[in-house]
Amino acid sequence: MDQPLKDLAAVIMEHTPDTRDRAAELTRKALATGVEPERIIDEGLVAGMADVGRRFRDNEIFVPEVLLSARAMQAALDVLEPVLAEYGLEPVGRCVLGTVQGDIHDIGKNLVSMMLRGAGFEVVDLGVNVSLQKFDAAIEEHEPHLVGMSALLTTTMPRMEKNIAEWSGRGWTDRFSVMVGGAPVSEAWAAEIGADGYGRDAASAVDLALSLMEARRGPRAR
Amino acid sequence: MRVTFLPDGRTFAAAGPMLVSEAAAHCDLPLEHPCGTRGRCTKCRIRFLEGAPPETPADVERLSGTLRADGWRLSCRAVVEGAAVVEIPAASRAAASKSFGPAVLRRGSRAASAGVGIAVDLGSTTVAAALVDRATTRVLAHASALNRQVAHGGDVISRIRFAMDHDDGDARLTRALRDTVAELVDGLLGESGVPTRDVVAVTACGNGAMTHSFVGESIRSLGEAPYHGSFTEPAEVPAADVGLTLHPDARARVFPQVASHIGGDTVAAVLATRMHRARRPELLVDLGTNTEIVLATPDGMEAASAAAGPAFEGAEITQGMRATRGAVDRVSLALDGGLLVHTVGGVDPEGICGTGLVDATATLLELGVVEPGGRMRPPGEAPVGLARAHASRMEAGERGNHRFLITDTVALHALDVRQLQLVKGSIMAAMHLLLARAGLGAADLRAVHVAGAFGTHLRKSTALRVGLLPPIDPERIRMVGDAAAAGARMALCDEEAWTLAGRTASGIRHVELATDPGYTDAFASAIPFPGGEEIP
Repeated sequence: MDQPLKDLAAVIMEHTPDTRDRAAELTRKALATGVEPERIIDEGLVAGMADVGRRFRDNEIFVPEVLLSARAMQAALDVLEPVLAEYGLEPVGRCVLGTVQGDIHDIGKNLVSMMLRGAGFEVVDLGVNVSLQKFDAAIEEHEPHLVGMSALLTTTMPRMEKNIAEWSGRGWTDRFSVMVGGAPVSEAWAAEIGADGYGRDAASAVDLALSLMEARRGPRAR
Repeated sequence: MRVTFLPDGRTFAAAGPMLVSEAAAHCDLPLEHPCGTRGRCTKCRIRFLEGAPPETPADVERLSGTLRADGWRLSCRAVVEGAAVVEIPAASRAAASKSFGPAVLRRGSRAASAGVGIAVDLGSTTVAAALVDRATTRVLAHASALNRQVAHGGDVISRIRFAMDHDDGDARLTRALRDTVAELVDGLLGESGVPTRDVVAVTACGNGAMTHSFVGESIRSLGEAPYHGSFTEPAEVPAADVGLTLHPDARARVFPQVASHIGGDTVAAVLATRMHRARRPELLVDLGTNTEIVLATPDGMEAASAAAGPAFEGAEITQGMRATRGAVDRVSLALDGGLLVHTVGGVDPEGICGTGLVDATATLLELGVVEPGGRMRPPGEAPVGLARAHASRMEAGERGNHRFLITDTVALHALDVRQLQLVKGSIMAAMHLLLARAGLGAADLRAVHVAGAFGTHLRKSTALRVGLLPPIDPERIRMVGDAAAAGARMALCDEEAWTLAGRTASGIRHVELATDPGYTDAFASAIPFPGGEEIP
C-alpha cells in the first residue's frame, strides 16, 4: 500500500484538531502523485473510518474523537469531490437522511451522515424538522437507495411510522430501504414499524447501510 | 480518625483525618449547611464532648469564646484526626423532606398579605406543598407525594406521548395531577388543624407540562418543535377551578413559563435566588432530566435547556437506581487512599444513584482508572502506582465495557461513565454557549446557583472534578436546593414577587441551542473530563 494512503488512514484515526488540514494535504499529495481517487477512498478514508468505527464500538473512543475523525475525512472528501466527478466514480450508494418533523436534534444524525460519506456513500442530508413532503421531494429528485430517519424524542418517533406507512401505501417499498435511529428507537420498534433496519450508533449505521445495499443488490443481481 | 455521634450513638471510623460534616453524612446524619459549607453561617455547628480539634479561623470569627471553650465548632470546618465524641443539636440537622426556603422570607412590598396560603411545587415525579402563614411568611406544615401522573408515564415526554395517543389523555393527566395536589392539601390542613376556609391563596409552579396540566391546558403541542405551549402568561383562577375546596374566594396563581423547555419552576427559582437583580453575571442551573440554565447579567437574562436525560435518576446506568435505600450515593478516597463508600440508609449496597455516579467517576479519574477522555482502563492497563487493593477491583468487560467494583456487588461500568459524559456534555455546552453569547467566560461568574433535588445532594468537589459545573471557585457555587418551591412561597406572601414573576417570565430570552451552529462543537468539547489537574 502506498505510504500517503497509509498516512491518510492514520491521520483519520488521530484525534487532534489539525487532522483536518493534514488529511486534506495528504489527499492532495496522493492525487498529485497519480493515485486513483478510488484507492484514496478505499485504502485511505474507508480504512481509517473502519478503524474509527471499531474503536468506537469497543469503547476506546467516544463522540468527540469520532467527530474529529469524521471531519478529517470530510476535509479529504472535499479535496476529492471535483476529481471524483471527472472520473465518474459511482458512489457505494445514495442515501437521503433527515431528523423527522417536530424534532430538531441532529448531532447523531450528522455523525451518521459523515460516517456514511466516509464509507463512500453519496449523502443528501435534509437537516432537522424534515416533513414528509421534504422527504418525498428529495426521494423524487435523488432516487436514493436508502432513506435514513432520526428522532430523539418519543413524541416525534411516531413520525417515522407515519412516513413508512405512507411510503408503503404508495408502493414505494422496493424503491429504497429505510433505516432508522435515535436515542429512543430500538431494534424491535424499528421492525414493528416496518423499517428495513436500525442502527444503534453511527458506526453500526454504516454497517447497516452497507448490508442494506448488499441486500438490495442481491435480488437484482444480473 | 474515629468519631461517635450523640445522641444517635453512631460511630464512623476512617484511616485518615476527615471533616466532621462528612463523617456525619457517612452515618446518615446530614447537617444543615445553608451557606454551602463556606464557614459563613453557624447552622451546622456541633459540640465536641471529647477530642475537640483546634479552633479554625471560621470558628473564631463566627462562634463566641464561651461556645468555643464549651466544645462548639463549625462541622463544615472541623477536621477530626484522633478519636472524638460529638453531639449534634436538633437545629443543625438537615430537614429530610423538601424545603420551601428559609424560615422567614424578605418581602418586596410593604403591605403584608393576610391569611393562610398554600405554595405548590408541581414536580413531574414528586409534588410538594407547604401551608404558609402569609403574614409572617412562616411555613406551618409541608409535605410531598408521588405525582399520580406517573401512572401515565415516568417522564414528561412519555406523558406528552400519552396525551397525544389518547383522546382523553390530557383530561386524565389533569385529573391525576389535581388529585395529587388536593390530597396533599387535605393532609396538610388535617395535620395542622387549619380550617379549610382559612386558606385564601394558592401559588403553583412547575415545568411547562405540569403547569399546563394543572390549569387544564393540553400538553400535546409541547412534544413537537417548536415545542410551544398555549399558556405563557401568569394565570389566576378560582382555586375551585383547579379542584381545590378552600375559602370560597380563594384564588390559585400559576407561574407562567418562559418558553418551551423553560418552565414556571425556573421562573420561581430565579425569584428565589434574586438573580434578576444581579449586578454581575450569575448563573442558575436547575439540574434534572431537563436541565434549565439561566444567565443573568445587568443586560438581562437568557435561558436555555439541556436534555440531560434520566442518568441522574439512575436510568441508563448499568446498576443505576434512584437515591433510595441501598443506593451508593457517596464515594470518596480516604487520606490513606482507601475507598469510602456510603449508601442511603447505611444498608448493604444495591445499586448506584446519580450522586454516586458523579462521586465514583471523580474517584476513578483521581485514581487514573478512567482517562480524561472518558475511557475506562482494563485490568491489564492499571495506572502506574495504583494500590493493589484498587487494581484488584478492575475487571474486564466485553467490547471495552470494563468495570470497577465500588463494593463487592456494585460496579461502575465504562458505559456508565460515557452516560455521565453525555449528560455533563449537554449541560456544559449549554452553559458555554450562553456565556459565549454574552461575551463572558466562566471566570466572570460571581455566583452559580445549583438548584433541583439532585443538586441538593451533589458534592461541589466531585461535580467540579467531572466538569458538571463550570470551573470556578467553589465558594461562588451555591447549592440552593428546591429554589422553585421557595419562589412559589415568595409569590404567595408577596404581591410584588408575584408581579415580578410575570415580568421575569416575559423578560427572560429563550435561546434554542439545538439549532445553534456552534452547538455540536460546544457539545463535543464539553464531553472530555477536565484535564486531570487538581481542582482547588
